[in-house]
Amino acid sequence: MPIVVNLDVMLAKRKMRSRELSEHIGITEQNISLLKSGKVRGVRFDTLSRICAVLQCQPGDLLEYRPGPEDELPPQDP
Amino acid sequence: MMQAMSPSASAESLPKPSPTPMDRVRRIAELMRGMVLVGGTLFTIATLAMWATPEWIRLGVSQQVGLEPGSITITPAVQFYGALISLVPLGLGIFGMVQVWFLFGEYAQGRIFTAIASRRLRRLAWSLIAAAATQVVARTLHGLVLTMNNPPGKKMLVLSVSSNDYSFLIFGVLLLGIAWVMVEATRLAQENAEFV
Repeated sequence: MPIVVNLDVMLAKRKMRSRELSEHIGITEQNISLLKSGKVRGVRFDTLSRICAVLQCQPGDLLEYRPGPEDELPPQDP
Repeated sequence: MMQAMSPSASAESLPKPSPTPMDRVRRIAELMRGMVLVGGTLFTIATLAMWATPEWIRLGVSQQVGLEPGSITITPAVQFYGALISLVPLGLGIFGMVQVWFLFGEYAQGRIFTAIASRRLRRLAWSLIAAAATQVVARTLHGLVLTMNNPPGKKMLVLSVSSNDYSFLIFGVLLLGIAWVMVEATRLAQENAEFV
């Protein structure tokens, strides 16, 4: 998956535990854990905005794009 | 001067929350489970009791099959074979009710869009479709059994299809269609659950 979730890094920076974040944004700790490990299909904008509000950060601080070999675009005709 | 309200008075003055759709599902689930339990028990007892009582066979079964009460001959063997034949649609009916029991058990637990619920619904649908076919066959066989001791020339072969059979078939096919829609709905629900 080329989208990397850096939520654990932001939690460490803000010195906040997953449980505390889950209580603030209203999703389960299990889902926080799945999000941290990147084992989710996607994140709703509503959830993302709540995380950013609590952690005082930008979406770019949480999400990073790291392309793999399978994500390279096909060669374009000149 | 302001008067302090007692906790019970303050609780009573709050409007009751309106029931959510899931509350209604749970209530209907409990009702359905009760109905299939009572209905299945009564249906089984009534079927077996009817075949144990010659007078009830004359009044009930003969009319269902389309025979005059005076045109049938009832012996213990007729009662035995008649009850045996009835066990097939009865068994299908009980199988269907068991599916309803477990299906609404899932619904009562809030598990609506699951593979198990879809499977129960499909089995219920197939049991209704099969019941429509077996009822036609059972009536024919009942006609043969009820007249098997009649003198030659008085034995009867009855073929009948009633609106009940057609209703079972229509409802079964309808439920089967809904069951396949629920399979797709389950897939979408699971996909949705993978979003946080």
